[in-house]
Amino acid sequence: MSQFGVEDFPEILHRAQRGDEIAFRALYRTYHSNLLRFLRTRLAGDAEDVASEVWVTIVKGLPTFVGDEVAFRAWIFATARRRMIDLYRRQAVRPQVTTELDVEDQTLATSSAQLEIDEAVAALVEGLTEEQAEIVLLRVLGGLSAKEVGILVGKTEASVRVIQHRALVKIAESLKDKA
Amino acid sequence: MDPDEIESILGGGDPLGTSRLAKVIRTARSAPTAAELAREDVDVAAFRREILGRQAQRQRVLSRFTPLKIAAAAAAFVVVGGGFTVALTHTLEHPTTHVVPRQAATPTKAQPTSGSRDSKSTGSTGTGSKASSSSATGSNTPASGQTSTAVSGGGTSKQGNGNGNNRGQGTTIAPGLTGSTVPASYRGLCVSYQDASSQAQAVSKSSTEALHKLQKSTKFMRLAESALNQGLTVPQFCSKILGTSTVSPSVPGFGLNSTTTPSTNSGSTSTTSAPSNSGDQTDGGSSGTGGDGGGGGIVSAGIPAK
Repeated sequence: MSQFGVEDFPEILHRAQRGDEIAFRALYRTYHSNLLRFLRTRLAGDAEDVASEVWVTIVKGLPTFVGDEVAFRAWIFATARRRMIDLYRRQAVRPQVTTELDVEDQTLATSSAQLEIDEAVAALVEGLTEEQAEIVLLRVLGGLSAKEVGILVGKTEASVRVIQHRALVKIAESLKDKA
Repeated sequence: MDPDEIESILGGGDPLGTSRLAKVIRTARSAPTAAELAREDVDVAAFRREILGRQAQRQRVLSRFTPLKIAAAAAAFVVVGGGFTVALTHTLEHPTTHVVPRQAATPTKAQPTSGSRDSKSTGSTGTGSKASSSSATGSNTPASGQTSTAVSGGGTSKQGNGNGNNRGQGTTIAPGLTGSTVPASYRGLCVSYQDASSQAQAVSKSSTEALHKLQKSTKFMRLAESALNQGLTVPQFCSKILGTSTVSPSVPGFGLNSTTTPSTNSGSTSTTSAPSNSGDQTDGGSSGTGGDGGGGGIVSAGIPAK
């Protein structure tokens, strides 16, 4: 079982395609958190709305989806990237890497686990360029390979490896310094 | 850190076991929290709406097509069934197509003039037997009136036979002519025939030729067929029409010496024998001299005996 995927993904997918709500919830709970974390680092307050829009798109395209679990994840994050671009165009706001979480958006009920997660995600993009952050997040949160990331961002696998290497080395040094 | 180490860490591994990067990556990938799933019901509701909408659309499509299918099937049924019905009713509308076409002037199977009716004779035996034998000779004929009755009776029986043998009153030649209309149409012809027949007995060349000419005429052929259809000879047929006894040319002494007046006359003795017959004329009320052959001696007036 993949650390990213749902157990018995083909069966779950097939049932969801036939309208099984329980199967869809299984997919949702497996992939939504990473999706939301990816979007939060890029959109901050609009992350929840964009995430919902992504799932609307997934639901509409679900009956005709054909592929394995990796392809499904790639589809989710590709849709997320397109939604972000659309949002940027609507808002005419250049994307900025948000390294600090908007504490005011956090509810009092936010658990410590949530805080740890949010801090870890923030640490993975701190000090990185837009391109480096996206590649790192897609690899870390999306669980996609260098090749799959390259397809999404329009780069070769080798380029992705080079970019991710530089980015992760920088992150490691930053963490080391904080420690 | 080399790329392979990076790849290993990104894959979830921690070769060194102390890598902070690996720990951060593992934390970033932690299981979803309740806060992150707060919108689950909202997003699942969107899924539910999509499914319901898809089902409703499918229902609409099916409902739209079902009446069409039914209509198409009904139309096909109407076309096929209507065509069949039209073909059937067309046949029924023209029942005459089933009618055997007229057998133009084709004599029906000639009924033997004698002996064929015995099995079907139902009428008076006496006259029937008499009538059945066109060549019956010597048998006393009743009075003309009786004869006529007998004849008619016999005729009836013979008609019965005729009916049994042929198509009833109507004939193939004149299907529209039945019953009383036949005698009326052939009356004149029968008169001529009897007259010619009686004259032919005189062995006169001209009278013989006249008879032959008459017999060759189309109308006579029709009369002959009518007679055959009724199982009668021509003389018998004419006698029935005219209401006289049957005239048989073969009866000796026929014509010249013994004639009978028609019984159907209204009392008039319009039939007159040839002058040479006058002496032997019988009254209209009686006939029978000379047997059947003596009867029916309608001799057209004016034909001189030779």
